[in-house]
Order: sequence, then structure tokens, then C-alpha cells
Amino acid sequence: MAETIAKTKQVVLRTEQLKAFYVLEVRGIQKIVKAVNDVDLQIYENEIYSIAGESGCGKTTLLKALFNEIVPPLRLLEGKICYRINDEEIDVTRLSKEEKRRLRMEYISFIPQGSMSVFNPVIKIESAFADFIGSHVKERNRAEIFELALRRIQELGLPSNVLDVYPHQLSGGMRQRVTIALASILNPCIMIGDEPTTALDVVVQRGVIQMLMDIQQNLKNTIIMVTHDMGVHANIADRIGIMYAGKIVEEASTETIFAEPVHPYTQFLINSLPKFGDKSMRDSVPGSPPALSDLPSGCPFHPRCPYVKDICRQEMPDFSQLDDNHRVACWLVGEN
Amino acid sequence: MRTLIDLFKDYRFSVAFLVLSVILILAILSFSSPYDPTVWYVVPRDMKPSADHILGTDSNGQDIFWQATFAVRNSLIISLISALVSRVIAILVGMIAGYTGGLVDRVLMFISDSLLVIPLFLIMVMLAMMVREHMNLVVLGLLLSVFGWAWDARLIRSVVLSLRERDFTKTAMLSGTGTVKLVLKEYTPFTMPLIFSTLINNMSWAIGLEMTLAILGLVDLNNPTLGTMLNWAIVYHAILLERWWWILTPVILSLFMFIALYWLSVSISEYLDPRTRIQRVGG
Amino acid sequence: MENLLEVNNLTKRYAQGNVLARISITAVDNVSFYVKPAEIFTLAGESGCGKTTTAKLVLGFEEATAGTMLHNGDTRSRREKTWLTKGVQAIFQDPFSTFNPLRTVDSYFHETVRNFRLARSKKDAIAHIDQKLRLVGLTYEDFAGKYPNEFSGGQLQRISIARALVTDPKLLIADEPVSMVDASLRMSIVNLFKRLRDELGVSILYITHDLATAYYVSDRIAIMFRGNIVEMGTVERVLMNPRHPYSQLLRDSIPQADPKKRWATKVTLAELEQEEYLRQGCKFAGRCPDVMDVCKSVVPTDILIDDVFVKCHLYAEEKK
Repeated sequence: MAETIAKTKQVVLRTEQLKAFYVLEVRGIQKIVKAVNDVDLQIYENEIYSIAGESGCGKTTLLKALFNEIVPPLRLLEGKICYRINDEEIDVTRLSKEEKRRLRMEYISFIPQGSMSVFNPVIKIESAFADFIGSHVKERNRAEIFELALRRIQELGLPSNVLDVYPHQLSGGMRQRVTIALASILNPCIMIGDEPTTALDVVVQRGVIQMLMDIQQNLKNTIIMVTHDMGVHANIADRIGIMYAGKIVEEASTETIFAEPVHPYTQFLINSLPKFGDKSMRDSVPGSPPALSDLPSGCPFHPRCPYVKDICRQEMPDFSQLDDNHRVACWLVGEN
Repeated sequence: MRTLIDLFKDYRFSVAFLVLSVILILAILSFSSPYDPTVWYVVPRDMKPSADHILGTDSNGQDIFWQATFAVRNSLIISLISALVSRVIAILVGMIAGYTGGLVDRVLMFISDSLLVIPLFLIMVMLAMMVREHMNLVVLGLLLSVFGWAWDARLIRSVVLSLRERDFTKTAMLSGTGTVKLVLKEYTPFTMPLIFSTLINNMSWAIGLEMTLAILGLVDLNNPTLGTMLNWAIVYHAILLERWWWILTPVILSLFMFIALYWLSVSISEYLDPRTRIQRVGG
Repeated sequence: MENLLEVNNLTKRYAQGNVLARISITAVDNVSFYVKPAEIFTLAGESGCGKTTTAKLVLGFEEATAGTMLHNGDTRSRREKTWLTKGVQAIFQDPFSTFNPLRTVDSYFHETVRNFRLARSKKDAIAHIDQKLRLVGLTYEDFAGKYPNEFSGGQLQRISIARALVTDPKLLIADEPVSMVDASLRMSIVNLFKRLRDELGVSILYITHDLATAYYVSDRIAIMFRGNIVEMGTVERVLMNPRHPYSQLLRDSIPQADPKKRWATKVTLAELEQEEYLRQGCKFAGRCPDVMDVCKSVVPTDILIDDVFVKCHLYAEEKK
């Protein structure tokens, strides 16, 4: 008997019309960088959602916002960010500092870019672990904390002596893996990674991706990450969101994005990558992404789009839902 | 011009500029002094400030105001000589040691470190006593400069050491630039703020050290400097005899000079710091 | 035709540690290869394999511990700076550190022209520079008087390539030229390399860890691991049919932009890298899935199979 249970996954993180801009003053002139420009996202439990985009599209800022780290000069102009904690939806932008702090590491943790500088260079790795764990789980004594850390390290396939060394004694790849282990140690519901595999060697990158997928499968939690490498997306993500100039322009399951990319930018991104074993002529996306402080009118991609129409120059397209999972913001599709 | 306007936006620079301008005017005024500063008893002694003598007179029979103009001028000259000569030495030593490395570096740093650990004060006193007969402004300036370069040489050396590893050094080498030109042209914008701020600091230091030596009587007391004025005032018990106009003049003048020089140094070096410059550069 | 560059038994050792405990790391271990005119030769490998050190040795920025290098048949000497810097130029990984942030970018070009006496007047200099800029898709007006931070990473890297071309070099050493450029923009720069080879006859020593672009652009390739070249041959042979277990691991670990081609197996990573450097015998023995007893004690020799050099005991049997 086929079970047709409608798999309604819970939403763990949701944003609604999120607008987060940088308000800068450079020599008396105010400059507004529209890094996150009206973003609506729904991230489910037990999935890996990755965001693709070139540098300068605002993805790091989006991650900061999702992690609820909105500090000046970044300002939240509009919109909500909601976490689902204990079956309740909480708008986290309104929490107090202490409440925010408690959420971090326990509910949501962050793996920054270039994890080389995450660890305090003058203390051993085990002290860094002890600090993190100790500040969240008050009852444990030092020995138990060490036990916990050691077990997690071993589970993830790292050598046990890694706790007993200083950060500079580890290679970049190893440090990155230790950082990921640390981020997962309190079993958070959501883990956010900002380019976790960039600047890593290809074999190490594979190990890191493997590690993230192992953690996700064991904890059945959610991982949100950002990278510009489409190969990494193809290997790790369940769903992909394509980001351009502060907006999400297309979102679908991984298979769909690669098999049927609809938005012209997505098509470009995929076609500009060298396919191993294929020496045919390929080329980069023409032109360059717009400065977020000086966005073009209408759809921000129109200056580079080969299918541009008049309406693209005037108005920003809304999302058209192509499928259960597939939505795209492009005038080629929804002509409402 | 644009640079000056930007600098004036910093209140520290503006105030310092004002104060130092006044001091410079005082120094220049010394050339039109009606009295010869090295001669005694040209005016009645120990008179309070009045219309004839704005700051009064001292126990040597000198007009304090005109004395002060000479004092300021001479102190400035000594400190400038000290600061400039020691900059030259510091730059040469620092850049050569930093770029060449190896044995040359170790020898130069050994000399530099030795100068740092020597108890400066004792040596200065000893040298000053030895050179006393020939002591004049220039000699004093040079003496001070010998001890003023060691610390800064090491600072410049560390800047050069880090710049040497940067990629743009290699780019300059690949462009065919010779070593000397490379170090001067590529690295100077980075070492400039250091050189500037240490120059001004060195001036402060030189004035302070000169005053110390003067109070000990180790300089030519007939040639007025801020230090010698202070010395005479102390010798004649100006505090005890409540002759404020005499003792306060060098004290307040030197206080203003120190603060002004400090503010000047801090504001200029902040402005020239490559990290803030990069933000300003290129619109 | 003579080889543009020939490297024989090049070795570079670094001493690490302090007075009480010194260890010697052999960053480049007995490396030999050659580069022909008008070809793109890749040195590929992960970080710590010795490729960047090899580049520094070829450029003369460091002295080799042992081995020889020949340029156009001449034994190289650092004193002969003119032919070295005119004929051999370099492009670095980070375009923003390639240029002094406090200098305008064009000043480097003019300086090169002056130092090598490539033009007789300012007007000629500008024409010469403009010609090189057009090769990379830019013009003189676009870039005159600007500072490095006024350009994007991709643009600045092109300018860096143009600077290298000013002296009409025959050999370009490109050290990870696209790794700091966005993935979507890499192809334009790599296509540029192809054009330089085809239209100007320039050879490129391309150093990278990105096998995808290496496959796309090179003629021949050498895979490096912990200071040794473990496999070397034409890029078709080496990357389409890798023989050395490390080459196979490397190729398999490239993430394919296709969800149907996800990795099927898991990989074990090296624990502490220093141990691998100091191994007796084959340095890959600790991680090799096909390791044999002999690998742990005897250094493998270079074996020629099908026009490809492989440094592996597995193939010693085959030859016999």
C-alpha cells in the first residue's frame, strides 16, 4: 500500500520582504548600498539550501541578516526574519541582546568565510571549544565538556590530537573542519555557512562538503550556505536560490535548476563553467554585476540580459510559481 | 592645497597649527629684538610686567619677552637639527637593514639596539661635560641626534620587512626597477607617516632633553634657550621670590610647544596612514 | 626548436623549527620538466605541493638548493636581469596586491617602458601600452590615472596580464591567476591565455589547483604532490585517463556542475601534512588506496607509459 503522506515540511526560517541596506557616509555624501533588497525566503527543516551568486550580489549580507547580525552601518529597513522555535514563530529582529545570544550556537550557528581567523591564535583549540560550550551549557564541568568535544571530533573523522594544538599548527582545510565541528557541537537547528569551501584545495573541499552532509544527515537539521561554485551546489544542495543584485531571482530544487534553468542569469551561470572533459569554447557572463549603491531601474539584470524587453527596464518582475518548488522572477515568464 | 584643507578639518591640526604659528612668529621676532640676549644688565632687574616690558625683566637684567623670542628660536633650531639628522640616519639604517637582511641587518640592528639600552641620561651628561667648551646650538643638536635614531630605525625596518614580502614588490622588480629606486619609490608612501610623526616626536624629545641638560648647567648658559631660561629662573629662586613672570614664561611656552607638536604629529600621521589614505584615494 | 625553459632535478629545501629541533622540508624535490615555445604547460596540485615554490625558483626570486634551469639554452643566472625580466614575466594570484594601492596603475606601465627603453617618447609609450591593453580588452583612456581600488578584480587581473605583456615576453608564469576571480568570470581570462598562445606565440607556465580550467586551456600538464611530479604528459592523457592514484583522487574530487554526477565514495583526508613531507618511500603511501609494501620504503622512479611519466610502483610491474 503506497503511502501518500503529503510531506509538509516545517518552515524553520522565514523572511518576509526583507530589506537590509548599508547606510554609509563617505566624505559628507551619503551612500546607500542595497545589499538585501526585498527578499522572501522559506527554509525548511532537514534540508540543505544553498544560495548562488557572484561576489557583490549581497549574499554575505543576506547570511548576516538570516543570522540576525544586523549591526550598523547595516540597517534593517523593512521586513521580518522569523525563526520557528518550539513550534512558535518568533520575529527575531525584536529580541533583546541576551535572547539573541542564547539563540546563537544553540538554535542557529554560523561558519564564517575564511575560517582561518576564527580561532584565538594564542590558545589551544580545546580552550576555544571549552569557551563556546561553557558559555551555553552552564552545568557541565570542564571534563565533561572535553568529553563532548572529543566525541564529536572523532565522529566527524578528525584526528583526536587536534584539540591539543594551536591554530597555526593546523592547515587551512583542517581549521575549517574544526570550525564546522565547533559550529555543530550544540546540535543547532540551523547552520549557516558563508563560502565554507572557498580557498580550499579540491580534495579538502570534497572532505568538507562530505562532512557537512554527514552532519546534516545525523542531526536532520538545516544548512544554509552561500558559494559561487556551481559544482559545490550540485553536490551538496537540495534546493538552490540564485541571487542577483540583492534579490533572489530564481529558486528550485537542485535537479531542476541544472536541468531547466529559466532565468537568463541562471543559464549564464551554468554555461560559463568549464565542464570537465569538454574543450568546447565557453565564455563568461558578459558585463559585470551592478554596484549595489547604484542599481539600474526595473530588473537589475536588464543591462546584461540578451532577451531584454522594454518592460524589463521599467519594472521589477514579481515571482511566478512554475512548480511546487520552482519560482522565478522574470518578465519572460510571468506576463501578468 | 586640498591636503591642507582636509587637515584643517581636524581640530587638533588647526589648534596646533595656530599655536606653532604664534611660536614661529615669536622666533622670527627675535631678529628685531632691541636687546642683545647675551649681555647682562641691559634693563632694570626684577621688574614686574609693565608697558615697557610686557613680561617683566629677570634677575640678569634682561627683558623676558625678548629673551623668550631668542629662547624659542634657539630651542627650535636645536630640535630641528636633532630631528632632521636623526631621521636621515634612521631612514638609511632602517631601509638598508630591512631590505637587505642577513648579516648587514644583524650588524645594523646590533648597533641600534646597543644605543637603545645604554643609559641615555648618564652618557648625555658625560658627553655634555666633555664637549662643554665647544657647546653651541649645532653641536648640541648633533649630540641629541646620535641618540634619537635607534628606535625609529627599527620601526622603519619592520615596515620595510613586511612590504618586501608583498606582491607589488615583485611587480616592481619585474618592471625592471632597481633596488634603490624600488625602496624609495614604492615604500616611501608607507614609511612617510612614520617618518613624519617620529620627526615631530623627536623634536619634542630634543627640547625636553635640552631643558634637562640646561637645568643641570651642562650647556652654554649664556645662549638663551627655553632650558637656560628655566635654569636661571631656578638659580635665582624665582619661585621663592614669587617672580612668576620669569619662571612661568619658559614653562608655559614649552607646554604649548609640546602639546602643539604632539597634536600636529598625531593628526598628520593619521592623515598619512596608508590605511586611511587608501579610502580617500581614487574617488 | 629549442625549449623555452628547461628545468632539471630542481630541488629546494627549507629548514623549519628552531635551534633545538630543526626539520628540513623539501618543498621542491628533484623536479624536471620543460616548456616549449607557444604552449601552455600546467603545474597542478593542491596547496603545499611545491608549485608556487617552483614558480619562485623559475622567476629567480629564490635560489634553488640543487638542480639547473635553462632558458633558451642558456644556463640561467640571476645577474642577467635584462633577458630574465624581459623574456619572462609573471602574473600573480591576487590582483589587488599585485599593485601598490597608493600608486596609479599606469605608472607601472610607464616605468616598465622606461626601464627597458621600449619607446622613444611619451606618445610612443602610450601607443605601446594601449596596444597591450587592447589585447586584454581594455583601452588606455579607460585606465589612465586610476588607482587599483577603482577596478574590479577581473579587470585588475587583466591589467596585470597587460603589464606582463609590455616587454613582449616569450614566457609568462601565471601563479593561480583565476583563483581569486569569480567562477563565472574565469573563462574570459583563461580564453585570453589561449589567444596569447595562438596569436602571439607566448608560452604560459600555468600554475593552478583547478583542474577544470587546466583541462580547458593547457597542452601539457604535470601533477605535483608534496614536492614531486607524480604524473606528466599531454593534458588529454593525464586528465582523461589518470594513472597515478593521486591524480585519480584529484580528478575525481572535482565537483561537477551536475547533480547526477555526485560523488559516490567518501574520501579520507591527510591528518597532519608535515608527516607526508617527511615520509620515506612514496609520499602518498599514507593515503593511497592501492598501497603496497614497497611503497612505504622505496621512492618510486619515473616510468614512461604511453608517453606519460608516472612516478608509481604500480607501473613498475607493467613495464617488465
